[in-house]
Amino acid sequence: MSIVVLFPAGKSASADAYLAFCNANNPDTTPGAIWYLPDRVDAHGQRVVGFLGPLGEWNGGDWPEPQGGAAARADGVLSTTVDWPNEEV
Amino acid sequence: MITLSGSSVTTWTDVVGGYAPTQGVSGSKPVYSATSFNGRPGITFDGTDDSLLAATQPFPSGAAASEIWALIDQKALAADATTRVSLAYGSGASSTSRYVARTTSGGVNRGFANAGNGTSAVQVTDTAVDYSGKHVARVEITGTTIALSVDGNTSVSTADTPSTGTTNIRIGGTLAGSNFANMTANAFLITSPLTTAQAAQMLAFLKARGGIP
Repeated sequence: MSIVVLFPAGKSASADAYLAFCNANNPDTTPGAIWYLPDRVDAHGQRVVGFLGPLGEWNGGDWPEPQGGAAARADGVLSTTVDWPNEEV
Repeated sequence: MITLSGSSVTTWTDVVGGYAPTQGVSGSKPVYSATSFNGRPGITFDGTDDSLLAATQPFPSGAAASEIWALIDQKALAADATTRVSLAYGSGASSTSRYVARTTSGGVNRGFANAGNGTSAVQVTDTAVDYSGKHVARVEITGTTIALSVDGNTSVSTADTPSTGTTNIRIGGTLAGSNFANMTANAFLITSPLTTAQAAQMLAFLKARGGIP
């Protein structure tokens, strides 16, 4: 994803709910596909969930945000970068 | 050979050995285009979380010699301080894996390679070429040295007795799932050591394929 949603450490339940929303609206038709790993946490303790919406660039282009998406991610913030833990130099 | 979901890549299968790095998470799949690399097929990794992972790796491990070749369009900006790994194989951290990557030095993108010795990373940074855009990177691991050259320029090398694991291979990031590459990739090759003539042929082929002068 070129855009992700970052949820503060205290909003893990909101991240779970947003991920469930994305899984329910996953445009990926691959059998058994999940939208995003459920345990992704950045170097600052924020939960990371891929953004399902315009400019997320899933499938090579814009993908419309499903109805209810904005509300589902209201506790998070959109970001184009992630500081992953254990990055090497 | 690739398997797609729409234009998102689920699996990029090696045409020689059939090894199949895959991505089961929709949001972490890179994107395929038939024309995104010099008018030829390319797979674009977004630098945020895209990668393909194979659960085993059959390539030379321990201190065995190998070469890694990459034909990529490197898209990370020079201001991006994060090392971006194009392809890694081995086990776990950099001390037990080999990879070809991009780093930044003095405000310039540079080719970067690693073959850890079991205790620590052993890395070399090319200083001849601005590693922005399309390039061919060649990593030579002999068992006693690691060398990196970009586009056939003079290589930089250092002493190295690698201790490479056998766990897995990842395209687009480290084995641990970090340092994701911001690139469009056309080809990766992992080979036994090549002769001078073979390497010249490989370089010429990849440069022609990539439209690299």
